[in-house]
Amino acid sequence: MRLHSTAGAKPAFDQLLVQIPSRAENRRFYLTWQPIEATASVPAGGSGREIMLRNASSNGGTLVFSASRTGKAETEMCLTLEAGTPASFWIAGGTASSEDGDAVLEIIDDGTKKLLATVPMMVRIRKNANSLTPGERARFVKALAEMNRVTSGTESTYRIMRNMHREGMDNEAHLNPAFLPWHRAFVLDFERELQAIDQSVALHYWRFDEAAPNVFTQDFMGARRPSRGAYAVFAADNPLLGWATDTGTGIRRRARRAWNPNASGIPTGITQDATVNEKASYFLFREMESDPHGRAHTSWNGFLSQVPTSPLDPLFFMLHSNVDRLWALWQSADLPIRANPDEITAFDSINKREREEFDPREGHHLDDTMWPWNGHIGEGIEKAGHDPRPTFVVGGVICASKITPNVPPDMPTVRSMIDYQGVTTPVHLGFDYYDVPFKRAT
Amino acid sequence: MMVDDASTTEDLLAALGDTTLAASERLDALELLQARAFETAAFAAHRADYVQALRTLTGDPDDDLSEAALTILADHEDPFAQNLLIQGLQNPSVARLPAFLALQLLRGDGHAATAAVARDILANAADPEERAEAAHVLATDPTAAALLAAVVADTAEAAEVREAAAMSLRNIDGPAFAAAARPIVADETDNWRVRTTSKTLLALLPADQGGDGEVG
Repeated sequence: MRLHSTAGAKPAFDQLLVQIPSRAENRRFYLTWQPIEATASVPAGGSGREIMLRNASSNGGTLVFSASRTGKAETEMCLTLEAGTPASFWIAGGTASSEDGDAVLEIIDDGTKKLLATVPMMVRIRKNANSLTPGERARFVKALAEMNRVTSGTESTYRIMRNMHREGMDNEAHLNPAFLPWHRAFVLDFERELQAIDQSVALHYWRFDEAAPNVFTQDFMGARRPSRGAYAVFAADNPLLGWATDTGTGIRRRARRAWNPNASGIPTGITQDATVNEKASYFLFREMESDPHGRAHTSWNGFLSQVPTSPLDPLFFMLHSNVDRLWALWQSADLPIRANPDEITAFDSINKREREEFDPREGHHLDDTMWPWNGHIGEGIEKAGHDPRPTFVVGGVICASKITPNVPPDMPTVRSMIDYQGVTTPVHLGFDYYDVPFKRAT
Repeated sequence: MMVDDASTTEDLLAALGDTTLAASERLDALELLQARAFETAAFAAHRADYVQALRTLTGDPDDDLSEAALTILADHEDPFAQNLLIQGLQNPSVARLPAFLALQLLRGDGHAATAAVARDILANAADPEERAEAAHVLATDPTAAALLAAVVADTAEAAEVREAAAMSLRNIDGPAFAAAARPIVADETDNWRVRTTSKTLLALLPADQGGDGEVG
């Protein structure tokens, strides 16, 4: 189901109106590390009062408050409300949730100490898949299986998504500057489709530089066969059992040679530190498309080892969540410069003159929209020496989210994918990684 | 010849075919080539030579090299490799891989010869692992529904074979799978693993095909 955005939420408590614009389609609240501006107000003609906002959870997700977007984060905050004048505050996740509603906002009358309301929320964060709770793993595979369900006369949403990354689209997303922005949009689109099934799910990442013994199990993403074999093995009650593709059933995935993904990261010499910390510009950083990204794909035989078939394996999306996380870590190391799309070290867009003379390829320049979300086929790239655009489109516009209405635009631009946390502008994309915090001034 | 990241693609292809090198070094070259081949556009000029080198390698006396080449080619649905695998299943004396693995590499290959050999193995092979893989191969053969339904219902058959047949049947004929699976789920005396698999697959099947319509 492709969703459409609507307005934020306005819970009212006894002459008190609190507006937190972070409510999803299921009318529950979802936060990330990024502070969201909210307001509390007493209607005109009412009585002014003082309230306390307090994080009321200690296990799972916790909340923090601040007086400004980048101000110091506190676990409680007092607000003085005058009738008719909204008071603003900023709310964000302090620690990540493991279940929907395990982060609780308490609103207390600071004069009488009366509890006015409790609001369950979720600090919904992309986590290391190896560290998920059994409940998180179960919800994740269930949502994947639901997305891949085929109903009569229709294609599954999963199949539509995976057809966005198939033969004939290589140049739109690979070996060019927009490799990372394109895949950021792709995994965000995919995550939002998962959340249309279960809002408590995030697109957790496979840290391919580390052993992942809790990922490659029969209960989660599939184990190795005891004897050598080309297909992952699943428990009888795992919803990924009998995973349907257009080439039959099962997930064709076999670690190459002696590599055991439960015992070590992929057999490449490039560490996460080397990927993130040794590249001074985006132009250099995007060499990671080959290694570790490409090596993470080709450390396996099977679907993942080729571009057109790789999304047949749902591990593809966890792999690319980690690729995107590496970009986020690299950006985080030098803010705000690396989040500013107009900085040449943040994105090596080719300028207009060079583009017209040398590289007319659409989708790799800062203000280009990207295929397939823009629906452009076959035109605009007739200059000699350049590959044609794809002859097909699939998937329509990017899946919308009520949490970040109209962000990114229906047809994402390269620019719209760069500053995902809204470091240089309050516009953010509504996702975060467990180990990439939002950097505050204090 | 030194094989590493700095080697040219031409050097890697030469190393792959050099039988004077140690097998481990040739496997290193193969892994580097496979990584480069992932970058489809950049590797386009070398792809034909790469495929030819892999085809040659399928006959290499080193089992690891031969298996690696067959696996890569089969992943690419290479007809030469598919033909070799089928020949090996029809005549085990020329087989380069164990039958169960050859069948796995043929999953998704919709050719009639593949389906025919899978049916023969499902009916006649002694090894349940081979029969199970044969049942998986039939997941793309819409004419196999009745055969697979009979295997699913056969309580004398090995559990892994019935499970594989259930997955394939659900893939090609949802209502037929539902009809076969519901009595199994209801029968508490039947094998627990077959019952659990049937229950999981029924949950994945849309309601309009006889499934539960909700992932459990």
